[in-house]
Amino acid sequence: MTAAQQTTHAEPARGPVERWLPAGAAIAFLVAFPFVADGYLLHVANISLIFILLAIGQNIITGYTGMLSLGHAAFYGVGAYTSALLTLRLGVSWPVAFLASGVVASIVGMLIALPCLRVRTDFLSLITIAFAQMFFVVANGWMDLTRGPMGLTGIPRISIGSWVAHNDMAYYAVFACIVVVTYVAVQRILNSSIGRAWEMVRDDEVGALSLGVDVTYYKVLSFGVGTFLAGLAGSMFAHYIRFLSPDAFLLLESLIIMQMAILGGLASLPGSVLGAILLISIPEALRSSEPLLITYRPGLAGALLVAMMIWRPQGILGRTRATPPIVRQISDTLRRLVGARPVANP
Amino acid sequence: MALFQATDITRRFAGVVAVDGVSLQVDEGEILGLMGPNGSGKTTFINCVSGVDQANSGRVMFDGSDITKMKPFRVAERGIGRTFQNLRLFENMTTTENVMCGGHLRQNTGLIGALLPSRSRQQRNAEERERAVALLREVGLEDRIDQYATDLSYGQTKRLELARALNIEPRLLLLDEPTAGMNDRQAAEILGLVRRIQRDRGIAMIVIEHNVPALVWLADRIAVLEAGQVLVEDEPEIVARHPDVIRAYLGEEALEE
Amino acid sequence: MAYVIEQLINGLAVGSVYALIAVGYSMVYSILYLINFAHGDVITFGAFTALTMLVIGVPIPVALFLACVLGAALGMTVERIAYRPVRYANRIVPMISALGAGLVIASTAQAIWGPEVHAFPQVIPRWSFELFGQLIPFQPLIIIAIAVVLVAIATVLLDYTRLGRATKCVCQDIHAAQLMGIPINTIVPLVYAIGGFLGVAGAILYVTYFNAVYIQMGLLATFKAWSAAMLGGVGNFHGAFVGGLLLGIAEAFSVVVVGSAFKDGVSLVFIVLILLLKPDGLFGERTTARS
Repeated sequence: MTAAQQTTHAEPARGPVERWLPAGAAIAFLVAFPFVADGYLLHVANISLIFILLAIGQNIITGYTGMLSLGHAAFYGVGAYTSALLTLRLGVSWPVAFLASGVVASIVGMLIALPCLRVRTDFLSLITIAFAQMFFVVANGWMDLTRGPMGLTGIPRISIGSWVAHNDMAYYAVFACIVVVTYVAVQRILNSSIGRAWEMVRDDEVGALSLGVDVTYYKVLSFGVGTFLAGLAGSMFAHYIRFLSPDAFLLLESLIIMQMAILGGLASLPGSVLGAILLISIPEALRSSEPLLITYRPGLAGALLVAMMIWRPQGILGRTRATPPIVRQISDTLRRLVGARPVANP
Repeated sequence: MALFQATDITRRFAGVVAVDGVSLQVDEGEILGLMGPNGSGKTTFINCVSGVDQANSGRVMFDGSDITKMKPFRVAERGIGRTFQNLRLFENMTTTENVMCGGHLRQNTGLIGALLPSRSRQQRNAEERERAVALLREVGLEDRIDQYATDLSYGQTKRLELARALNIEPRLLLLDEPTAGMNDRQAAEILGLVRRIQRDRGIAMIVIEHNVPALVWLADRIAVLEAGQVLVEDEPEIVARHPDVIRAYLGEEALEE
Repeated sequence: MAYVIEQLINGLAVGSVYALIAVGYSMVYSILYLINFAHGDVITFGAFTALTMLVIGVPIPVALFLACVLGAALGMTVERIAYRPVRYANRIVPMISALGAGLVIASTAQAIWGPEVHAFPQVIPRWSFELFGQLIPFQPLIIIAIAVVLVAIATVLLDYTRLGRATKCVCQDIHAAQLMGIPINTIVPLVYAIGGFLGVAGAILYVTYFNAVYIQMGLLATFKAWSAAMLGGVGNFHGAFVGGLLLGIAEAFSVVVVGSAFKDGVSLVFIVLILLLKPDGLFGERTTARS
């Protein structure tokens, strides 16, 4: 650990310039980007915007609340199919379908997670993988509804009233707005008592309980908000690519979303944005020149995860410091206890 | 009527009776000292009455209502705060944030409330921060404000946990070995702090402590547990002279050698 | 009737295999509260190694034993590299590290053996014999016998050796064990070694029985093994064995009742039901957080 970390104040006083400069720069970049980017880059940007939402959702669940969900792509899939089927089969307008997909993914998510979050949160990872498998089996097998592996085609473009998103630029504008609004909303939640309760649950459940935090409620709420964002992202994806098949939402995709949240930084919103952009654009850049890297991407990503957990669990931008102080404190405590008394009180 | 009354609490683990029919009560503003050898059931008792663990039988009344089967967060809502023998601080937060967490019940906004912009909330947040800083000063951590909880010394972390528990504005505070693993001077400082807090705020307390003279000085009444049962419960001076207590404590010392 | 007996024997055979795999998950979880995601990939790697050794002509018993030893070594290596440095970190940290380690092992296996499904040599012959006028398959009985012998050996090691008793102590409370001077850094790798050895043995029996070995089988095995471990109560060594047998029988009869398409769903249903009804398993004690 560096000397700076030892004694720095966690939140130095920030003036208006420090507070608004990053936000202003980000907005300026978002606005300027489509004017300098070509068509392909704009497409990569649109996909990145979708994944920013997914990474933020994952980060709420994993980084802020400390729950390992490995089925995020399945909730993304639930949102995508909800939105596509609502518009295709029932003729629902996109804005309604968009919100509905978030709500449906969130309700499904909370129902799936509830039994587990009540008793053994550790097993959430297993339950979510299991749900993802079930989602695949249903989406693949329920031919009448989803057309199975042939996929859903002809999903309408995004439209708001009489306005229709005719090109990637229009999609970019809509997606950028959604991401900015979501980012600000999530920021607000995280700065409220809810965000603090999530972090309490992550750091010490029993400690949180002793302060009056309804741990199960906050876990379910966290999972609900995270999967809500995944559902929204699903709707964006469905109406952008306009073709859905079940194999877009497999475990591998969930792991990539997880990697985005971790790489950028657990418990860091800017980190999730950065993680999503990096893990979408880097593989895009290498796809044609380094096919082997893409083939062994899971293995490389796995090695990266292990290395990060050991040396920098807080990711690139994260503030969470998960390892060294805890190890030090436990060993210190043990040493003191050994000195003080031979047997620990049960 | 007593503020807190536990009646006939029993807790069994896989055949071992850790707490065996313990009845204890605490009056408003009173300090009850709890002592006894390791494994005599002190922590299990505290866990049972604070909802962290569930007793197999027995009844806990607090301020006129039955809190026996309540979840720990409901118990906290009622006004029972506690600290833990092996610290349960939030490792990734600063000292100030840790204490502010104690104010959770006051700050609860709900999801919609959190999303709406609100000046008064910002102001409340600033007030909560000031409160936390004041509490940090009260427990003697004025030079540790806004530092990471994990950068504190062991004795300081114990103080931090105390400040956090105080921030829920408890009417009863359960302190599980606040001086565990400290040298005599540090321990005396902490117990002095506990005494001062009790005088200033009039909070009732149950304090688990091994050092007999210290507990005699601190407590209004002392209960001694042995093998899950109340051995004696009386005025501190009487308990300290009780032959069974002397025997029990000599026994423990013999074990330690 | 003959069909029922055959299904019962098959179910017991598959179930005892699940139990062998479950040991690695269950013991590690009871010590460190860590879902050892790499375990499924470790045992897949072990099964592939056995396949290669058999193909190049190593005698069967030697090849199988060496593969199990490799599984033990791989388990210990993963512990040393990916888990030990983060052992006392927030619970989520070692789990992510485990996930990463699993991905590395699976990718390595894919680089060596490719993504396709391989047939596995029949190391146990598929004869049948007649008993009381019933045709009894031979292979499942041998599988059950091997599993029982391995579990019996592990039980003896755990119950009657110093190291074994120390291991049980660590499983109950790692911090108290440390305070009593039990060398944690010997015991924990040992647990991974036992888990890896039994897990690879289970994986070899599994691929023999189903005559197929492939990269993704670790994930499926993970679910079944966890289901078995949770049925018996996580951390309960013999509970996992009984849980495995129950799951195997339930799967066998689900094929009879609802058809083979839903066989793999049985373990998932069990996991959800246990979480809802009896989170500490059929034989588990109610436990609480220690403070």
